[in-house]
Amino acid sequence: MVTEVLRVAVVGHTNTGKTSLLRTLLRDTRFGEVRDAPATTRHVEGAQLLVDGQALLALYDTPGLEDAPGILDWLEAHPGDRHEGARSLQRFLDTPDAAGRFEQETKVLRQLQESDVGLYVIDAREPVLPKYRDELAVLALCARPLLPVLNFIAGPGTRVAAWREALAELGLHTVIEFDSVVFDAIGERRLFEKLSSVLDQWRAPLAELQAARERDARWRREAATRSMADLLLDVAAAVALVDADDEAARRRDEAALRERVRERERRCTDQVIELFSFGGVAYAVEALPLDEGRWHTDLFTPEALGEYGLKAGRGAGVGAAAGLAVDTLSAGLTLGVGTLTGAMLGALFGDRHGLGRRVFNRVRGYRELRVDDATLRLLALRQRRLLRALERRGHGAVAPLDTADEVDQRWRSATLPRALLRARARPEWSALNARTAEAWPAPAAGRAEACTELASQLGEDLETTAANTG
Amino acid sequence: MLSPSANSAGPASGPVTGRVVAEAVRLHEERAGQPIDEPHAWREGHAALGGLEPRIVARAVATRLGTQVAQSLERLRGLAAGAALVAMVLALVSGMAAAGVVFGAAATESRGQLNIFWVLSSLLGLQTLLLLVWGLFMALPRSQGGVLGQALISATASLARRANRDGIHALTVVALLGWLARTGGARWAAGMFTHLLWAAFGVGALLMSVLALTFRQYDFVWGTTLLGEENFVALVAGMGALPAAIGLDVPDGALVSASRIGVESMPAGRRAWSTLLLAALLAYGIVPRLLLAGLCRWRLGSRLRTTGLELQAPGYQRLAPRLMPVSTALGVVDPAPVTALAAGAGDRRAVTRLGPVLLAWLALEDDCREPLERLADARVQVWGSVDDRRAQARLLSELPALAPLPAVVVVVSSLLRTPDRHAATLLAQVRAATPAPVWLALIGADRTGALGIDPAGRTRAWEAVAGRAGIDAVVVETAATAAHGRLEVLFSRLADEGSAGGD
Repeated sequence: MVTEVLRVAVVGHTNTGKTSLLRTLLRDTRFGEVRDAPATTRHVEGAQLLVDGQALLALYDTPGLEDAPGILDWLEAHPGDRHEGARSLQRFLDTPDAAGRFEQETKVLRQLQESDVGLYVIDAREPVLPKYRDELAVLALCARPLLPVLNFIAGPGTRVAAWREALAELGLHTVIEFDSVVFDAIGERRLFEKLSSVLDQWRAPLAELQAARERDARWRREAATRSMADLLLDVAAAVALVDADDEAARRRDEAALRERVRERERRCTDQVIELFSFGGVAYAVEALPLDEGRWHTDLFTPEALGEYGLKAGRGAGVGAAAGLAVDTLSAGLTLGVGTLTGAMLGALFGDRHGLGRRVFNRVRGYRELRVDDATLRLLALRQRRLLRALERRGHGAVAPLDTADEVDQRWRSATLPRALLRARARPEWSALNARTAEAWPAPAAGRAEACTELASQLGEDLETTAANTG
Repeated sequence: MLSPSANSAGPASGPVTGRVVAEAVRLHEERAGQPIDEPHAWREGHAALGGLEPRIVARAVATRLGTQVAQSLERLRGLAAGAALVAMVLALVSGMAAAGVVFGAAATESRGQLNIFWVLSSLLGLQTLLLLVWGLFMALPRSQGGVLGQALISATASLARRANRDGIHALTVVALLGWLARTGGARWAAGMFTHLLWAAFGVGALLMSVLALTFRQYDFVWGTTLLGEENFVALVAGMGALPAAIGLDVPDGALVSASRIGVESMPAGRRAWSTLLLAALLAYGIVPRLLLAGLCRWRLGSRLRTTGLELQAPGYQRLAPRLMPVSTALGVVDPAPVTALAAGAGDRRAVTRLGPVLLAWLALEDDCREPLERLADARVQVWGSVDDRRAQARLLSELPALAPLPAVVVVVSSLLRTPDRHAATLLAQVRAATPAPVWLALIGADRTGALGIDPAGRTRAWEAVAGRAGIDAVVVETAATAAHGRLEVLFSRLADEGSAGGD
């Protein structure tokens, strides 16, 4: 079965980001060549958008138009019949000049003629110059619907309003705003919606394409929040036994636990970034205080907490290093009450080695060392920031940190989610504890459910945030 | 047993196997931190048709690990079937034993008198009670099914894992258990197993009852202290309704009354009573269990068939771009032109002091023009914008006849613009239209930073264009000079040239 594929020619002046636009739409960072220079692309290169392996749309990257005024001059110098319209272009394309001096432009015009629609990419930072009007006049001769795409709209110094006005004067009222560098899922949806508003007969495949993209984005977000929830459960359930009397050994164990947690955070950050590795991910990540998966401020410092409006937990006063808390039985009840109840419940409902072992360890002079609440909050906030930056690319990354985000606020101050509190009493939930000799222990009861629950809480508002700002 | 590439087992024997294999491979990969990199598996996955799931499964099954897991799964299935068979034989034997005890006791201790309701509650009572418990469990949300079945499953799992601590089997069991839990199939599997066990128990009891009733003679009696006779008549009528409906001869009210302990027994009643007993065992002990086992089997099958992989798991999403790319390249459909770019024309012209500086500008922002217009004086003739074709044509037509001849024609453009071939053509045409030297001045360096433009790269691009057009000099305003006043650098350069020319 050969299905018809919608052909879209991406045209525009030189160096307006046509190839970047294709890369973003194709989710392929290796397509073509991108440079801040004129005439980087001098050939016509195509690629197809697939849904479940089925091609629905073909995009053609074309060389930049550089000498449209020259073509208009040529047409004026070689007048044909009046009212010949598109035929005058054909007359031009058949001449040796088209293959010579205007070869680059000829490729563009031919490709547009062979396509169903053209996307006219505009660098929105540019003033509306006469040469662009000349280009639109030449392209109009191809008799194909033309949709202007305003590119580079995310940065400062754009002239979107001036362009919209100028395009409206030319009868082009459907204008797409889409930044090819700063990826934005909502911008992309609008692009497809506007395409289908112009191409009514292609409505169904375009809707299918858009639905598939939204599904992929949803999956990606869920995968990211799962990774994040996994991290938080691992860290919340992490526990190290420290000898309360041996100072040196305790320090060493503390350092080891902290290092394991840092490493775990880095792994999660890497996983999340890997999921989004398309369309200028480097741009989004560069804008974050991140270096090779590690955040610039160390997890276990008051500065890191302060950055996110958190205060060090009081548990640190018991004697553990910053970010850790010693769970003591003797010195009153810092974490003791909470975890002891948790342990009892755990012992009753499945945590078979819970209470007995814990009491035994305490009696023997060991203390349990855990990561404190403030650090868990910090981990969650950092990961949420990363995810937002990746989903909104530049928007999220450029936005100031303390935007009044309701869910972030909740993570900052409200009680920790129930799943995390449960994890506190479930050492077997944490991969950081590695207490079993078995290579494949049975899945810890309840962890999968806790992970799903926590993941949905982590991703809770991201969708709505994106929808509101879009 | 676990030779890496023994394909005889036929790895993908059904959607359930494929999914469990995919789960096992995912668990392994998530533990390892990176996907298994076997090119042939990637190819298989990529080539599979349809959505993400079939591709993930095809890849997982094609990996070496996947083949091993599939074989292990096959073996586990055999083991499970064998264990189930043994358990059912045991259940059958215990059913026979239970019936044997009841009938034996009646034969020896009660001199052939059989308390009909006592027998029925012995053989049907416990299992009916457990059936109710099972139903209750199933009604609870998210419960794991019958206690017995659950215990059996965990016992099997723990045994299997102990037998093979870190090998493929352990991984397979973990994946299978995870899969059963995820699909909610565990409770139905457990249910099916328990129902089959009880059905076997019932069959055993029935067999033993038939044996006992065939070769021994019993008098059926009943008795009560607390209840009235009419209750028993109603109970027998109720129990007998189903057998009676298929034409069996069951005790009627008169027979029930007559069979009460102490009332003289009627030998004719024996046949009716034993029919009732056997029919009750069959209808209330065996058939419902078989039906429920069938129901559980069906539910299990449909759960396993209809539940897909959890595609949003990070371990699967990580594979998505490679297994199901959202785009594919078509390659170059129209190659780049091979036209050689024209070389710069003519010798460099020097500034000779004849006329004023002629200032024209191309593609400038509006707010850059006004400062240039203010430069107009005796030394500087401001021509204005040559952005549109009309203005360009006017400049080109008037330039040759201009008197006095300008000392230099300066075309001002901006570093914010990308030079294009039209600009190059225009510059070349300007150069050809006048004997005066033609310079290109580039302003806007102070704004490049804000727009993320590399001024050095842009300058090089303009210089290349200017070179092709035969421009005599390119003057670039730097960010530092821009602060002092437009084109100061131009005029200092002009002064240098002027003095040099004057010498």
